[in-house]
Amino acid sequence: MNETCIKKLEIKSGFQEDQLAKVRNFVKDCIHSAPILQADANQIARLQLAAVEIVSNICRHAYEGRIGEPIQIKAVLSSDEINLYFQDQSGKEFNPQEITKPPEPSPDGGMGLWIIQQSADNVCYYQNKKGINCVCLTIRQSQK
Amino acid sequence: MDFKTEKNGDVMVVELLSEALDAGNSKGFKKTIAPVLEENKNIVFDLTKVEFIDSSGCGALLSCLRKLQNFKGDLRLCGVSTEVRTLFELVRMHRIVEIFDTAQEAVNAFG
Repeated sequence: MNETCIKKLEIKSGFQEDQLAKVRNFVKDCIHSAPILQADANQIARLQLAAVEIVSNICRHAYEGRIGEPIQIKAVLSSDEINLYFQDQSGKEFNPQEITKPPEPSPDGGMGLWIIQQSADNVCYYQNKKGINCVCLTIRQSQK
Repeated sequence: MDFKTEKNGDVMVVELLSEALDAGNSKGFKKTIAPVLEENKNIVFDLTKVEFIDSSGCGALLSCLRKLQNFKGDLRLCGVSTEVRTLFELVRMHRIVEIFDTAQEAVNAFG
């Protein structure tokens, strides 16, 4: 039987009040309650990292630093994969595939997209008719 | 981001005390660590208590490294967890900053 479980988290844009810790803890809780997962510590860390990078990206680039704008995260957990959906209402388009090679490490940043790409098994992006942006991260059950 | 400092010979060992160095606190960390960078040439960051670092945290560490190198100093890291090391390898940071298991090994490596 292929059980599916859905969990949601809504946060506000900005880096105040440990918003990123909320994201990390949400991801960890999702994985621990997933029907799947024998996810190892490395998979959990990868998904937490990618999730934090996406939320940071939304705060900085989609909402351009505005505080208090809505960010919704939905986790769909099944027996063989986890999908995390990140939604913002900025209307600004985003291309998670635009980086194709590792950037040089820099104090000025520019590493986030690369980390997102490399930390998930799949990354996709779409914008619905209402202009809501959605980035989806997928992590699959590792083959043992 | 709180930290604790302890001088070991000519090297300043800075133990970072927060569980995360990320976009939420990296700017504050750069500000509070600035006086330590100005007063010391060779520094070790002990990351034993840091469970999570993101790209902003990496950027903050690289910023510290650049500042020290501008004055012929250097930065070394120790106590890096497996998860944080995975990130460092992903962004190839381990090729730029030397990483040691313990603070003493990092201090000794300054010669």
